[in-house]
Amino acid sequence: MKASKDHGNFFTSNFGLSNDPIPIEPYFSSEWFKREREKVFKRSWVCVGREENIGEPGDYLVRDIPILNASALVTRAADRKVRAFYNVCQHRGNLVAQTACGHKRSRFTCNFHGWSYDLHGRLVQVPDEKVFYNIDRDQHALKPLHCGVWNGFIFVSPDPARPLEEEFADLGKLVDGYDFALPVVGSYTAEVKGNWKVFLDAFQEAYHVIALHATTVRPTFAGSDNPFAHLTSARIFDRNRSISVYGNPDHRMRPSETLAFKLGVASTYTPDMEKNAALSAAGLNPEGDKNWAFDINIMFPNMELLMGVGWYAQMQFWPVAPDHTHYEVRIYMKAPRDAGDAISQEFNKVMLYDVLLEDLYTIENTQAVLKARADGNFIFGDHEVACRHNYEVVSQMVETRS
Amino acid sequence: MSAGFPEQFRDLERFAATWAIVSRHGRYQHRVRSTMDEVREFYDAITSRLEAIMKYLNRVGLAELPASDRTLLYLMLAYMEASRAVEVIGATEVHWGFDSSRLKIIDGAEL
Amino acid sequence: MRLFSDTYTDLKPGTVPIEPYYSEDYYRREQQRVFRGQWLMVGRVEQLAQPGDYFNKDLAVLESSVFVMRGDDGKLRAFHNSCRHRGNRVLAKSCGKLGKAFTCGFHGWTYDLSGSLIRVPDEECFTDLHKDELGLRGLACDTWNGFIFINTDPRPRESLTAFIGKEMDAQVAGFPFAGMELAATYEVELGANWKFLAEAYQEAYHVIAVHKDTVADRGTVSRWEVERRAALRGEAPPALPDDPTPGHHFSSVRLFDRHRSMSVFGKPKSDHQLPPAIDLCARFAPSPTRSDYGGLNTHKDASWGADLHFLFPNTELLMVTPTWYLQLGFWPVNAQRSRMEVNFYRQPPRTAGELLAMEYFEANFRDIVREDVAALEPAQAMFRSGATSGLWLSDQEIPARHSFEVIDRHVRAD
Ligand code: FES
Ligand code: FES
Ligand SMILES: [Fe+2]
Ligand SMILES: [Fe+2]
Repeated sequence: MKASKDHGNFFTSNFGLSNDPIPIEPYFSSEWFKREREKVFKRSWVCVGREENIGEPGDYLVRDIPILNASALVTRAADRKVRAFYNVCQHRGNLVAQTACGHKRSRFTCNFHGWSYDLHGRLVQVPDEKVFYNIDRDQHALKPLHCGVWNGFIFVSPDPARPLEEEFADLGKLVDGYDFALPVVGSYTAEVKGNWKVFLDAFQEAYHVIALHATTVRPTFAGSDNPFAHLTSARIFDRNRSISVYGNPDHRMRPSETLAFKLGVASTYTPDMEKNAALSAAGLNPEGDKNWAFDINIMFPNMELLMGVGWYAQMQFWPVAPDHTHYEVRIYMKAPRDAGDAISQEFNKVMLYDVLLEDLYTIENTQAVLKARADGNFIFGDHEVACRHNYEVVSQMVETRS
Repeated sequence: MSAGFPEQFRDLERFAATWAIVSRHGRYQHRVRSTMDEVREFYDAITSRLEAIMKYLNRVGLAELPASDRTLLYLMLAYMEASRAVEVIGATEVHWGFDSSRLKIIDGAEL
Repeated sequence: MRLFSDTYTDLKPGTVPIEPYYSEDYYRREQQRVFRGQWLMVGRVEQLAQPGDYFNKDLAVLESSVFVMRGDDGKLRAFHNSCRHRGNRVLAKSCGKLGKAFTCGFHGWTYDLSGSLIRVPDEECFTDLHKDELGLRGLACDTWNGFIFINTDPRPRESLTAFIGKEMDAQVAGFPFAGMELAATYEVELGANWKFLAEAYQEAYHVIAVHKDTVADRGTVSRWEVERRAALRGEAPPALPDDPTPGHHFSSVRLFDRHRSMSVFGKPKSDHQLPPAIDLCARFAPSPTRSDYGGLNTHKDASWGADLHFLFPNTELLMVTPTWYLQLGFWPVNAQRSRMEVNFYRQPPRTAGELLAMEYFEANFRDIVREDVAALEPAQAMFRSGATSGLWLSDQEIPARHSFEVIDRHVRAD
């Protein structure tokens, strides 16, 4: 049988990926984790917030990045430029900013001995400066992190392999026209005993929908013409990737969902298929797939944007240890104008919460037994192509010299 | 204590003390600590009145909604919790799930 | 007085080094050499009476979760509880009964009762998938006296029979294990190295101090109290004529290659006044006749109280009467943490009196365990301090020394 989207290794071979089983060791090994720190995370861009979080000059935010053993301080100065620094005093290493965020700051004064830095990171005051033997203030500015903004998302990197614009250029084209400047209407976090790749993998395939989510969202994302929740399309852009998830047009709407959709947005409801082609102009459904539900755009290494009509969700998978990930998800929607909007949004929040309980449970159950199978393999099918691609990208980076 | 429901929704007032909870976290907790019969009773009572309630609550913008109608709004938010249990899962919580006290609902995104 | 050291002269006197009781490195070698590839007791056949019955066992020391299941063919099999697709725990409940097959909850791969992969949803979208090579990863599984043992090596170097050995087998031959029911299980996790924990159950030296209140009906304590009071008065303790080994608590000890058996001294109960509850037990406990004592006091000690049988590396049987026994499992969690499991098995009680008596034994042992555990954590907390360089073990604690030496021998083996 010829490979088509519904048979064989259609995506996998189109993207030039192998069919080989994938070794399990990278998903628990501390050796590998150390190399991921050096070769992957230090050379990549990670998102630390949205521009709206620091909209005005004097606004700042602080963000812990456990895998870099770093805290990032992100500021907006009077020139409106966003800058990022290691949140570390150049005197004796104390944290310069201690609160998660703040406004109307012109300088940060370290509370250990009182050295002060401005929003550009410049050292502007040293108490009792004369005892420091002609200190050269320029030499003691806050250590900068590379910093850039992509569609309103602020990214930082210690030593990027590529400029931000280049790294996410293709994804940028794909989502061009989408309005990301929405408020967060719901947010969940968890500390989970799972490797960050095990975690991410559970959120970049829909093969598990029919089993794991059998009682929750299976009728929404699998149907008689697509019983296994096949992806409607998939794309790879170098290290990044994008998949489109099927929506079952025949799924029976229950009262709560009908209400949610009528009043606002129901993320389970598949939009009118006739209109799908037009969505691509708005940064959605890039291939004009029939029976499309939403896109998952995975921004290497640890973030993804799930994007549908009237909503998007940002997920971040922060590696803490080989078997520990800090997880965050934020749901973005228009601020509710009336009770109907609020109730409609509640539907989406509640639904996602239940589904996440199922996913996270499984991630821990998966991690629990991996070490005992150190010599074993994972087997990725064609519709888990994104998991395979992630492994290939990570292992290539981990295994390069220098 | 009267929740001060308008005349036509007085019969729903009996749910106010238990289901009209301000926080998302609290509503979820209440759902999973209730029995399925309790959830269903609440769900059925609201489902039969959906149109009327929404017509009433949506008559003005959220900012203009009088404080006295907030209880009814919270009741409707809790209805979304109850609906997952009744319409979809058939139990108050998912059958195989992560410990919900560990999946934190972040405050600040509250209504 | 040296009762046992002269018999077991291979065991060096002096201290036992302390580093193995906290070292991460030592622990890693224990994982490799003392637990992987060795027979480990994980349960009883009665738990898996019917085809499809299974139980799960989380074994941190093996970095695994393992399940044992009875197949359609009646055979017991053990598997790593990890799906061959992407590793999810296939059986999520701690125990249960399956039909003909079971399905992984993540993506729905399905296995039959012999662990073979029989169904892959959307199989067409996998390339080069050979279902016949993707059965669950098995472990060796066998039974002895109804106890289920597993071995991470699917083809173990040594059979379970050879592992148990003739001498150990003979110690309990004839004991009615099969007729018993599991009446209670206690589990406790504590901050103490697993060897340190296990050793506390292989010497009776601490009984007189730690258990002075709880083991009051067994005689040794009254002996200790007599000595203590005499010492407080500055007098020499009076001799007790019916105590064959004054001041000592094992009446006999047998050290085998890896396992060991100990018998605990027991004072004839006629001697002291029993408190009401114990008296009740004495009157209503099932009273076996002499001939029922098969598999107990095989060494025929004159003043016998109980047998302890320790199976390398981490299982113990505590046997007092033909009507109940305890099985203890000492499981490492990490270098300085362990989890102890205590299973209380008994003959199904036939009368209310028997039930009450059993209830008393069970409750009493629970208190005893609490006393043991309370003593261990503070000691463990000091191990790294450098305050102690080694553990002093007496002649009476020779089983604990043997326990350490056997483990150390495995850790150091090439
Ligand atoms: S460490 Fe910041 S001023 Fe000294
Ligand atoms: S992990 Fe078991 S079916 Fe995918
Ligand atoms: Fe999922
Ligand atoms: Fe004890």
